Amino acid sequence: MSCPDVDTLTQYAAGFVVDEEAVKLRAHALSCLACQAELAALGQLTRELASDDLLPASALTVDAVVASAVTAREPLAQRPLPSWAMALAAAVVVLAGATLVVSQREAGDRGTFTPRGTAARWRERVSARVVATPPGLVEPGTHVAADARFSVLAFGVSPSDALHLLAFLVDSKGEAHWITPQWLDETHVPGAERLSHDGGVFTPSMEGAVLGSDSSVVFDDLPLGPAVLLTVVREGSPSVLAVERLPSRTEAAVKASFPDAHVRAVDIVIDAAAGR
Amino acid sequence: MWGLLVVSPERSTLRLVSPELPRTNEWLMSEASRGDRGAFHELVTRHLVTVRRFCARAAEPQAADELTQDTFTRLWQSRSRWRVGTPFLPFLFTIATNLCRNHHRSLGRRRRAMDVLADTPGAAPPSPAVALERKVEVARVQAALAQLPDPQREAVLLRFTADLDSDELGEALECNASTARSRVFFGLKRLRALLGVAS
Repeated sequence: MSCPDVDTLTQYAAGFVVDEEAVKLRAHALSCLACQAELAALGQLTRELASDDLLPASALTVDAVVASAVTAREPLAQRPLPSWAMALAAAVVVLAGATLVVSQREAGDRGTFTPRGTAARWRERVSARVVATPPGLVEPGTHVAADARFSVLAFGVSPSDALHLLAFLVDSKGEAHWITPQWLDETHVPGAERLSHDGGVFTPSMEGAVLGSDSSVVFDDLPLGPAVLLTVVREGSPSVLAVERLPSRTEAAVKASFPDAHVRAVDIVIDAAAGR
Repeated sequence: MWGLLVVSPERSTLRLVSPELPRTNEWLMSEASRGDRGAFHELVTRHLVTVRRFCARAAEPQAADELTQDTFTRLWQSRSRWRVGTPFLPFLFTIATNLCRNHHRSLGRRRRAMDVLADTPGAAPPSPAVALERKVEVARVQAALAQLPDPQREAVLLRFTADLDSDELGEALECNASTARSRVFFGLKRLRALLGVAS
């Protein structure tokens, strides 16, 4: 192999020459002083770039960075509206009969508004119901085949909500089988399913929408006998791990773990698989 | 119970999922996006040093702490924009890059290079001559970096201080991987010429 050009050596130093070409280049450099020198110079340069030498001593600690980050006031995303727009917006709110009460939060908070009244009474209108196919919407005492498909319906969610959902079946042995979130894999433990979106577009109504409509959950090892279907709806995200770590997954224990959540428990019976 | 069988009726696929779940950056960020401060703490622990190193080079050493703090503050404040499936490192370093770019532009490049040199004296380390030589060398690299166009400087630093690969570079710099590699290449080549390291 003849000497590679400087561009190739530079690409190599950047880590962009790989596989067979890299092997050939290294083999050549072993017996070529000129290439060795060029690679050494480039190596020195890249090490220099990655060096922490002579950085000023840092006053940062992880705890301090975290504490400062989570308590920092968030920048306003938008410029203040002109006064006429503010007046118009206020009129629209009044005409709509909204009962939002705004209040300045305590110092250290993000300076956002706290909705109260109707907007905060989501527990009275939002519910999550488990569907087993067959027989359909699950009621207390429903008999469900062990190979039924489970999914969840959410009712009464409004665009201003920021609610999350967990749904799982607790079998007769106390084990939790997850319905929502549906996809647990080796690299990701999902949190609760989000019932509304705070980033802009929101599906006008979640009424009757099946979460994860392209898939449903079938459990392969569901013990026969009594079971409980539990749904947890909460502002903020209830954690899958928090449920997994509970010593017992009874309705009372789940409610104690998520005191601010709406927890619904439905007793059902798991029958033999229907063989569908 | 972690192990469950998930069936997608449309694809008729079966998938047995595992109870062993590594705490990847993406998983931690996903948890942090739901308000989990413990997960955020872990992310800061993992990346504090690298982000600080990047900020020191991309902006100026004296501003490294401030820019590092700002980066993690913005990361926390941006958590609601995090989407599952997004690679974490480009997300983090996009924030750091933007902050450093703003800082960099707010200072004169000549002044910045001179500041580094002016900072050279001071408390003498055990081997003053060696330390001085080392400091001058670091200052030369910093001054050469300041002469690169912004896209090249950012690409070079993300490659060598943050160790991002081509795809991650592309994500962080909002260009394709090929363009990102090209920026690293031309940046490194230009640095080599500016520093005139002997072959």
